[in-house]
Amino acid sequence: MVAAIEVEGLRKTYVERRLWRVKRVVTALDSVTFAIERGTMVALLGPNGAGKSTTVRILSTLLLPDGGTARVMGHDVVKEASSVRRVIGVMLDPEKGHFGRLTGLENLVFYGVLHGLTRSDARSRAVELLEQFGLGDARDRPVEGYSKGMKARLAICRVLIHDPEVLILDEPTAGLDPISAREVRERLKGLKREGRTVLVTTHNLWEAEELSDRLIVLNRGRVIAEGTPEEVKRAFGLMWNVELEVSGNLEGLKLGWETELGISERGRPLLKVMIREDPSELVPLILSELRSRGVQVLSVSVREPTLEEAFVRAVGGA
Amino acid sequence: MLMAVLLAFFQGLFFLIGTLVRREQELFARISGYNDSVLYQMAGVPVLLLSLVMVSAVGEYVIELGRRGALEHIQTLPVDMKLVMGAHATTIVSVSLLYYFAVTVPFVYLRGGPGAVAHLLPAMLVLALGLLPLFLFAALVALLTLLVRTEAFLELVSASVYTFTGIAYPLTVFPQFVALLAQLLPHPHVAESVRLAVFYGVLEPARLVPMLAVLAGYAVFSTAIYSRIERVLRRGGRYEVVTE
Repeated sequence: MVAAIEVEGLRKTYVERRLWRVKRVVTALDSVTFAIERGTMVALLGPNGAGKSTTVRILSTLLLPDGGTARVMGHDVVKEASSVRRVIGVMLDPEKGHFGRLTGLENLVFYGVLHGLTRSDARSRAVELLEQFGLGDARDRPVEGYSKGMKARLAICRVLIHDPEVLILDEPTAGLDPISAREVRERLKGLKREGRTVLVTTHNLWEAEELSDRLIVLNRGRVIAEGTPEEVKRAFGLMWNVELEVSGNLEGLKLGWETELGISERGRPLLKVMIREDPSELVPLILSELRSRGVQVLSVSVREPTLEEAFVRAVGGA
Repeated sequence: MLMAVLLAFFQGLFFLIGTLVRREQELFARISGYNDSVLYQMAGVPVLLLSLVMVSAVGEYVIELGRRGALEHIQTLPVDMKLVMGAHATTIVSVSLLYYFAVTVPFVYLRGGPGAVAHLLPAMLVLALGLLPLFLFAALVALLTLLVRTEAFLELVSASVYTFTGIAYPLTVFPQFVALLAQLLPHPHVAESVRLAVFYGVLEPARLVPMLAVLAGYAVFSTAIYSRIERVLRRGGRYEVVTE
């Protein structure tokens, strides 16, 4: 598989000055390296100040790195900025970038023409996108009267106006109400199905897990984990909790895994077994082990570690 | 809008002063030591006002684009920002020319009759050429405003243009070094050429050549400095101006 985005040893430092004196030096990216395959959706995760927006802005050619390289569809973001701009669609803030007094259609035609489309091509593409994204009825209304959700959908139309291969979306659901956010997520899933490469930053871990094929976790300007959501959870050593309501003698019980004893909500003895491996293979082993020791199992539940737990552990422990 | 009203107001006011006040030239010479009529001196005021409109319109355009986040989005498009600014310039220059013509014709007609109105044609030509360096000047100010990130810079430049360009009053009233520095700005050259054209219907080479030289200088300087400023902006990654 060919990489759509390749980042290698990317560095960026912000120097804050007061007049001529250096007030503060902030390292935003410290040798960040990752690659994103074509046709995949990848979420860039991290707390505030982790370097997500800096990465996005460098890939969008808005910001120059201090060192390292970044290539989008084979084009260098510094030396071939213009070529990069032809193949990317960028959304930095779902509510920004629109001209409020222009209608939704006029906004899209404006951006389409700036992308090099003819006016008629831009118009027909804009009409098609507005219909597809449920804005057909509002297309001739000034954007200043749109709701947040409508503006977010219009922003997605805008990044798609020139049919780019790579989409870079910085927190596309930020500030949206749950219904609008869900609508946007559905649209993003549609983009994934179309086979586009999508890099999305988000604070919403559940959203990242739901949307993305892979995750890149940044903290303090470094990549601290990368992989599928499952791989990221595993990388941080998170464990599945197998909770068993039991009856029988549990005294001196020792299993080959980390265990805890407690009381269930129904007031029965509760045995918690923490495992790192795939529970579908281990739970039958645990059950047979308990049966062989005369312990009766009344119920079993397996709780998956959440990405949030992985994230908190990763960021907190970094 | 306010500038448009001001332009019409000042044109009318200076016309009245120049027409109604007897021996105004002598009076003006006594005050300023500059032997020109008030009307002649004030014929440059539209250039000043148009320049202020230009600096303000271009600056506000860039600031507003930044505030809306549109500037960042435009920067991510495969289009040269110079082209976007050029399109903006064409609109402003065309509207300014039409407006200048509309406001000036009645007064020139009243003062000099139909023959004087014909003088406006070379004046328009001069102004059309002159508005280009004024636009480049305004574009530079807008970019510098982005760089320093405070809208106050824009206001400071507007105030300086008013004070140090010698349009509203002769440059001779300034200390010599200020007068020399003012010559580096496009405004005095454009204003003087417009005055000569309006009053005498001539495109005087002695005035046009420095104006064209300033135009060429600003074109070269702006192009060279644009790339540098763009690089500085991309290094800092900030496209928003603090307005409060």
